[in-house]
Order: sequence, then C-alpha cells, then structure tokens
Amino acid sequence: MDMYQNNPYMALPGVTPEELGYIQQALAQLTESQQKFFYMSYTSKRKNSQDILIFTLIGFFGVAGIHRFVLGQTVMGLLYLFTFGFCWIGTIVDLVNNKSLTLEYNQKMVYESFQMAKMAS
Amino acid sequence: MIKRLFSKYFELVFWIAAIAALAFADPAGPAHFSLCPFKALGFTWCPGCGLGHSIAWLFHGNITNSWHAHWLGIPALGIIFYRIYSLVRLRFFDQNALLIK
Repeated sequence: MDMYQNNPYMALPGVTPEELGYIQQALAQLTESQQKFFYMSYTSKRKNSQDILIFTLIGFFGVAGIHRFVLGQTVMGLLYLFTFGFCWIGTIVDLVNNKSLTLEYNQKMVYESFQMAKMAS
Repeated sequence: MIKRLFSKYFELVFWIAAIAALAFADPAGPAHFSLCPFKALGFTWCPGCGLGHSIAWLFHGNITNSWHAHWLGIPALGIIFYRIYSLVRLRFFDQNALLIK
C-alpha cells in the first residue's frame, strides 16, 4: 500500500517499467501543479495492453483491426479490416507484439499530456 | 539480449521480412502453402485472398496484374511502407529525444 502512495503511477493497470520510465522523464521537467494536471490527463488517455490484447483476439472471430483503430492507426486498421487481418497472420503478429504496440501509443500520450501540462499552468 | 531485441523490433522485422519475401516471390508460380483457415475449410474466396500476389506483381512492375489480383495491393504496400518508416523513426530516432525541448 505504501509503495503505491509514493508513486501513484505504479497503481495503473498493466503498467510496465518502460512506461514508468517515460513518465518519470516527463515528471522531472514539471512543477507540482503541472504534475497534477499531467496525472489527470495521462491516466485518462493511456491504454492497458490487456484491453488491446482482447481487441486483437476479436480479429479471430469477426472484425479484425479494432486494436489498430483504438491505438489511433486508422489506415492500418482499415487494411486489417478489409483483409481479415492479412488472413489472420497480421492478427497473430499483433497478439505477439501487443505490449510494444500499447507502449508506443502510451509513449505518445505521455508526450501529449506533457505538452498540455506545460501549457496549462 | 535476444529477448529484448525480439520484443523491441519484432513488428519492424516482421514487416520488412514479409515485404522482402514478397519481392523475391514469383507471382506467376503455383500457390504455395497457406495458413488461411478459410482455405482449409474449403472456401474459395476470402477478402484477403490475392493480396500477396498483388504486392508481388507490383515489385515486378506489373500494375495491371496487381490490380486484378487484389485492388488493395497498391494502398497496402504504401501503408506498410509508412508503418515501417514510422517504426524506424520511433525505434532509432525519437526514443530519448522525445521529451527534450
């Protein structure tokens, strides 16, 4: 319990060391009120890699590419949609690398939240 | 170290390998072994069928055949190249410079 109070980001569902590293890098350059804004913004923007995994799995039973849409890669999502996820191969690939896909997205969100926090106060 | 390399560059390596394999494939040759579950079930048509042929024809410079194999071949190649580009940028250039003003 104490551990989480020291660093609230460790309580985020499915958080990884790499993600914490990016967050730490951003926090170091922010004042305390900016850090509060950053926390609010980032926790609402970030995605959990487990959710992405579930969206990817839907590709086997029906519509492929939902995970790519959710991660903001619209064109790639359309390509997956029209080709059944490259005949399942793309879906299998994304099952394997769902963590790095999510990290890529979360890294972008760290950057966006960082910029917003800088501007906000 | 291999594990780290694998998890970090997996998608990048996969797309480049796939594109390279298609570039060296012979699009006029007989159908190769397929993982496709629809084909295994006996269906003869699937929305993704012909995409590989289409991209392979493109690398051979035959746009008409490419269009006939699958109309998505040209946009697909563009999208995959764009994805490779953004992955390379992310993995090799953006990483630590991201938050530095």
